[in-house]
Amino acid sequence: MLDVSLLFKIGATGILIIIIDKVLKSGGKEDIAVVANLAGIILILMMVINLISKLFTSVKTLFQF
Amino acid sequence: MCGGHTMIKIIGCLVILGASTMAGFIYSERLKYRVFQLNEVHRAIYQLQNEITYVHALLPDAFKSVAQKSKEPIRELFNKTSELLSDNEYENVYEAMNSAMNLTKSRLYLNSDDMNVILDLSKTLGESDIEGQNSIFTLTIANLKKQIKISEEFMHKNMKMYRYLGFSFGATLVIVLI
Repeated sequence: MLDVSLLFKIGATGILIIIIDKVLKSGGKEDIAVVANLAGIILILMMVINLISKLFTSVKTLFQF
Repeated sequence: MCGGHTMIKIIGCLVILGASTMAGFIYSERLKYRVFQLNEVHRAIYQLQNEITYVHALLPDAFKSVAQKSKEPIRELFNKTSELLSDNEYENVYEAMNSAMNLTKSRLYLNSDDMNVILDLSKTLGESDIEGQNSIFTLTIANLKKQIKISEEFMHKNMKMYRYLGFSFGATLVIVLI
């Protein structure tokens, strides 16, 4: 069963990244805002990478005869 | 989850959040100090001009009396310059001022542009007649006014941003760690 707290975590991180992006853009630092967005994407990817690898292994076992 | 464990977690999260918020606030204070110090330098340069054009003081004495009328980090800068000049260790005013600036660097919140404005003045100090020095003073004061305007705009724009950013980064860190 999927852990629901992970979804909340991703949601909260997303909200905070949006806030950081807005604050940086209003301060006229667009280039740093892009970097912050990328960092957020990587952060969330690192959270779900275990699940993705699990998905791939289960798909692999499906096709193994 | 058992009681003691979550308590420590909550306290740790609060500490991280508080520390990062504080870092944001401290960083935003630096912008305020820069404006304050630039204003202080502005006033000190006017006084230096008076010392040179009306009192005809020698440069070490002029620097010393300006230092006595200034507030702390700027006072130290001018005092050091005066000392280095009267020690006769340096060939010209520029080198003395430059090394005095390096000595007080940790307490000056000025950036390199601001320092260059002051150092440009010291390049011509004591190497021209009063009229020539006066024109350099006028130029320096105009440049300083420009820097003050820039730093004030920068302060108004970025002070809130640094505070919000400090809090947001702390909150992100807490969420990642939970």
